[in-house]
Amino acid sequence: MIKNWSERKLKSTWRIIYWSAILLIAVTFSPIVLIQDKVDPHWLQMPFHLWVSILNTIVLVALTGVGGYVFYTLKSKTDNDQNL
Amino acid sequence: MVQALIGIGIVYIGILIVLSLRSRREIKSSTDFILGGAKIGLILGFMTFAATLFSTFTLMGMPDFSRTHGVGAWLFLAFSDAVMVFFILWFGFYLRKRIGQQSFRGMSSLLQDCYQNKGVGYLYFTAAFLFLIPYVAIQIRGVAIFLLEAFPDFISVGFWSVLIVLIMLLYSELGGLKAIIYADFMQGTLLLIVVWLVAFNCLDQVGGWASLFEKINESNRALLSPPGPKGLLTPQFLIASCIAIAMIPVTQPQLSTRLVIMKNYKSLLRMAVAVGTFAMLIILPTIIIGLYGALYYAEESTSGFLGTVLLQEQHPIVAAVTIIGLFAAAMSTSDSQLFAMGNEFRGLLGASKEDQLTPVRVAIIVFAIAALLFSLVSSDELVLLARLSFSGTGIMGPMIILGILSKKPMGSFMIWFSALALLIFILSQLNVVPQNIYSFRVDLALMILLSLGAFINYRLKK
Repeated sequence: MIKNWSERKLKSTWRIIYWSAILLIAVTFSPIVLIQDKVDPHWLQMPFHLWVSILNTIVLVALTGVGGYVFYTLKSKTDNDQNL
Repeated sequence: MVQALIGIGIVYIGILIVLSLRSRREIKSSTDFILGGAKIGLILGFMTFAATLFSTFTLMGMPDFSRTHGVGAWLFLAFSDAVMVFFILWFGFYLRKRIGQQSFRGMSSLLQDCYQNKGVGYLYFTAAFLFLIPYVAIQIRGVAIFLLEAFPDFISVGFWSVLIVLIMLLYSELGGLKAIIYADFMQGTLLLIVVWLVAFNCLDQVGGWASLFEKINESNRALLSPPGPKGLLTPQFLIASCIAIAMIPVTQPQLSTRLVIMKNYKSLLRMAVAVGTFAMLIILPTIIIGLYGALYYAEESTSGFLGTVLLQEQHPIVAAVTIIGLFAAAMSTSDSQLFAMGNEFRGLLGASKEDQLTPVRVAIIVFAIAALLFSLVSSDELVLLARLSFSGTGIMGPMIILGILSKKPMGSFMIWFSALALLIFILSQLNVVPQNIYSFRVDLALMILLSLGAFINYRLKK
């Protein structure tokens, strides 16, 4: 489906993905996640810091998967590099 | 355990010999030897990248690191690895585009082309040499102290180190990079199996997943949030580590090489996602093992803790597989690094000499000896030594990215600036200059200044 998207739509989707990744990284290293002595709320029995960082890692890897596909499709349309 | 070790060891060495001989038959040029033919598919590419990235320091260093500093270890390594794989999407594309259809002769040579300046190649090579040698030394040291723990009355740590380096060199000199990639595949699989077997055993001993966190909460609550009991995992430490780790594929030649030798960009993208997933799967059990260690072996030495948890508490077959797995991990990572240094050396020799393999083979042996000597004097804090290696090579990151992204040479400002930053970083590690610039850690401050410098350089010279 993504293969049929216009170049403009691919570019804006790629921008949304990388800004989401940057925002996620910023939040992960902010005081929202890095709080000393905060262990609650627990989730799946894990303390707050661990489950939030695991969840953020999963989201970032998922963004890499989706972002990779969008970026590849975009570059296939805009770049003549044979190395693609 | 000894019987199991001999049996599994014979099978492992037998496989290595077969792989080495098979790879040797395929070597027809220096490119085949150094770059493994340069067309690697998804599965081999993913395993060789993951095995090069996750080594002895993962199986030995991370449990010890989590035991001391707690669950913040996840953010330190797993999240930073996820940032790294996202970065590969973008950097991998431009790196491959820059190289195009040419033969890859290492980052030193590529940078010389980008900047039209010989000095930048030597600067990169110097940084890689200075900070990869300790990283190779960690692998040797890690396995040697572990083998000493397993066989306390056999030979000294120094002899174990020499033995490891000899086997490592013999294998790589015979089979080249392709043989290392095959060994990486075995090592990655072994590492994943071993680490989960040990983690499940730890969970079983402690009474399960929930019980692990409950007991940690009662005994040492500081382990359940950063900065940990010793206050190491501060935001600055974690951010600086994340930048250094994200820069590894840019600045460490063994991983840059793997981005280049992938069959195509699509395979590289899939490989990046697979490595991110593998990172999560391999780091979670190391944290379980570490927290278990914090409960029962908080006062033990590194080698005592690892020897007990990875060997004495395991079924003899698991213990034997652990030893082989660790040995394999050290061998594949060290070989990859030594080979990458060999390729860098080949690039610096110039095109006319690039098909002469002898100087490259000699250089690899010299690097191995340097790593061996360093391993004999290095400390047992494997993760912090690895981080030092990432940070040291990371200093070159902005200069490399600027060179690769620019369509024309960007002058010599960033080369001099990076050389100065490297010098300041080395002096800070030797405690000649302070480790903080105002309230900033020196590595973080240097990375920010270098990134700003590269950006301004690009805007002015564009």
